[in-house]
Amino acid sequence: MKLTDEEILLQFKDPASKEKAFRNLLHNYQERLYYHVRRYVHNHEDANDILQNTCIKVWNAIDNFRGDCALYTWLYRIAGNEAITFLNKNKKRNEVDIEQTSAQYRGASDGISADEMTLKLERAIDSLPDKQKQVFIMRYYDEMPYEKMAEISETSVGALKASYHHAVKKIEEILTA
Amino acid sequence: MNNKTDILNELKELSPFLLHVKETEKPLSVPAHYFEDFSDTIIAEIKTESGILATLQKEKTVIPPAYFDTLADNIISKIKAEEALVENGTIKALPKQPNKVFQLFARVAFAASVVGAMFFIKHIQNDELPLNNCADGIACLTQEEIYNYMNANSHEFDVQQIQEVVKPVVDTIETKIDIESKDATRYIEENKLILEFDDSSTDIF
Repeated sequence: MKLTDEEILLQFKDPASKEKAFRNLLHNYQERLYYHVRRYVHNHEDANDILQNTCIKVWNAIDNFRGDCALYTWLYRIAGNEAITFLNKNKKRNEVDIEQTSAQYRGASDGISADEMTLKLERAIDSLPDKQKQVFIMRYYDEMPYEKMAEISETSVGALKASYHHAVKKIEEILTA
Repeated sequence: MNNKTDILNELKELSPFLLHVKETEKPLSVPAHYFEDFSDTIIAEIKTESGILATLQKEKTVIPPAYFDTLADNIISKIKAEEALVENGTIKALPKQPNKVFQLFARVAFAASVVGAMFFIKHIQNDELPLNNCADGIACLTQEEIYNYMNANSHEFDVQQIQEVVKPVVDTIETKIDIESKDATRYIEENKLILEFDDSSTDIF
């Protein structure tokens, strides 16, 4: 049975039930957070690393969570920031990966398999600037309403729409080139 | 319309191609039992980390007894000792560096003296050249040379000054010329055609 955010936060207030509350929190959000960060890195190992770092941060910071925003919003924000930090740390490695993939699929836009197209899409997402990448993942994969995205990214809905439109056009351009 | 339909419609408008890619995309694969085991894994990780942190906290840095009580006194006594060394002249003055401005002046003065010496030597050599012994001065030049010089340098002469210089000579010449009126009439008659032609050529009206 899933507990509500309020119930979980109440459990966190008692040090004796902190671990239990944390398990409940993970039970509610681990999958969504995992798939969110997996879209940034495209492989399980890196996604697992990011998710673990995110959860450790949540554990250490939960006592200071003031409830200014929804728990879900706070968790997404931490996970997104962790993913971007991870990508920036491993930028060089990612660039090599992109080069290899580009060489592999260069000029192969006609009649390529779904797997190949997925790979091309992942590389196209990698080429986006951090902010656009975040917006694209939240909208395209997580299918989040703009209002929720605005809460997480602390950006206006108008700016998010513009950013998403730019990202879609850019990705389409790369995929159909 | 629900949120998902909105998002798909938006994507369809923006890029039907990308919508097609989304619809044909395969779901991501995750290792078996990953989510079941995740909470245990992360709790174990946190416990290990907090255990390390607890150990680190226990291993406090060892500071000598009364270190902070005597710290200020120690620093002040060190400063005083250094000041005493300066007063006693123990600290040696740094060797003087040659003055760069003075060096520059010396170089300029040397160069100027070399140039001056060269001019002096040249001047002496010029004095030894054979002098122009032409007794009449300007008369040594040909008319053509004078004419060319005047043409080339006419802008350097003051017209009024030239006229003043030339006037007595011209007056003298005029007084010396004695033409009778019959000679003048004959000259005009003989050169009538030329004079008429000159008039017509200068008549611009």
